[in-house]
Amino acid sequence: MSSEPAVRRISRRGLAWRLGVTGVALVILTMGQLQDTNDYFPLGSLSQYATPRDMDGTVRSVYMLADTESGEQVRVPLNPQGVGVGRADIEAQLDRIVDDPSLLQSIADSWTELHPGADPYVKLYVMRDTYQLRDGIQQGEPDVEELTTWEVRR
Amino acid sequence: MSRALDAGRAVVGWWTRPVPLARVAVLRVAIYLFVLYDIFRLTNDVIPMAHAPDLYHPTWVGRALPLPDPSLPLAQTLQVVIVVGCLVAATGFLPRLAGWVVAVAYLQWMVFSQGYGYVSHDHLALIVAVVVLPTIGRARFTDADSSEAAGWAFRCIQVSVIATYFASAIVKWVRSGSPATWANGAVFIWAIMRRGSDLVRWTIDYPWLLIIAQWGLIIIEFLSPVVLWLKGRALYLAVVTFAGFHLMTYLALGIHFLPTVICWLAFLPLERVVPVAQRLRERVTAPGGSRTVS
Repeated sequence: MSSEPAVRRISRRGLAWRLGVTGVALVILTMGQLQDTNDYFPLGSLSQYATPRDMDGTVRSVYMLADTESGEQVRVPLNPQGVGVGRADIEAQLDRIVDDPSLLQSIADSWTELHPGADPYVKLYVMRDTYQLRDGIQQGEPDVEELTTWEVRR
Repeated sequence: MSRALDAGRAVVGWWTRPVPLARVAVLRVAIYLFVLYDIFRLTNDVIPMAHAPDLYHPTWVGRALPLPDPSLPLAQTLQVVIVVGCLVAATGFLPRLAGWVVAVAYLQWMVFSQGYGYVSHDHLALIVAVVVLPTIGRARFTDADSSEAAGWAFRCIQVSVIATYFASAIVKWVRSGSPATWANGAVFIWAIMRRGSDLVRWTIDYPWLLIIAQWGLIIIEFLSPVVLWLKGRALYLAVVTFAGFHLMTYLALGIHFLPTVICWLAFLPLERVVPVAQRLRERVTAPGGSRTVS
């Protein structure tokens, strides 16, 4: 190597905006945690698995079923390869969907658009299984609830 | 007064500690190629979800900025722009222009991907990386210089990686009232019952084992900022530990956090792969023996 490696400095202005941006981002990130909100994405709360669960509580699992045109009842694939929207999306918007089940029309539409040859959905069910825990051990079979349904419009 | 000045200087020095430009060149390849993997394999819900625009319910950025609503043509355009932008930016050609194009398109892509209710928590560091990389400017694999601008960008990525763990420990505290309530609870049981693989399903019969694991996790999360000051072997051990944790959650729950894992590279002396790659290339271009350079 002919010349000694050098350190390229940043200008005062370059330093100022960098520190400013860093400060603002850190404040938003901190607020995201203290307010426990995802709304500040990408600087929202890092709340993965943060909700404490009771050893004597319940474990709930939401899923969707569909009656198809050929008369079968199937599980709706809530993933990118299935209907696009994921199970976690449905869980996060559950109240909104129960208040207005017509939102489910989108799911039926995206199923037909993404899988043109497949058996179309004629009725959708949002379901929830609830397991009871005691001392962290599952007790018997789950309670199955039907939270809402939607007759698909053609 | 001079003490406060010294402290300020130390903080600024920490945020801008020079990083070799060759390291930038290597990380840039990894990040931009990973973004491609991300949009085709991890956040590949944007195009299918464009078929269900009624369920679009964006986060604050999507509501506050005059951003468009999702549509199939827009989603497909973003995909093309990100692919072309990443391929150009990964080569180091037009680092600022290509980098900013990717940053804007990828942010819009992520606002769509995270705008249907569920917001994932593994993209913080990757998004920060995509936003800060274009601020560095030109960096070649053969550059011997180091740069403070690169130092700031790398520090931002490192802090975002650590924040992914440390902040999650804070939220556990906020939600539970105390870290112990979370650690003594049934979170892992809940997670494994909902989506556990056959590899770990047996553990739900042993709640005490999962409680030990929960304590281990929350302790590591609270201690994670220490990594920012580790060097050499201790640092490598920390990187392996966190990568191992993600491998375990992947095998147990199918959750891998790869967008965070890739950003751990910002902690490593990546420039060392350059001479190795050069030697490999020489061997390929000059088969049948080593060349001697006078």
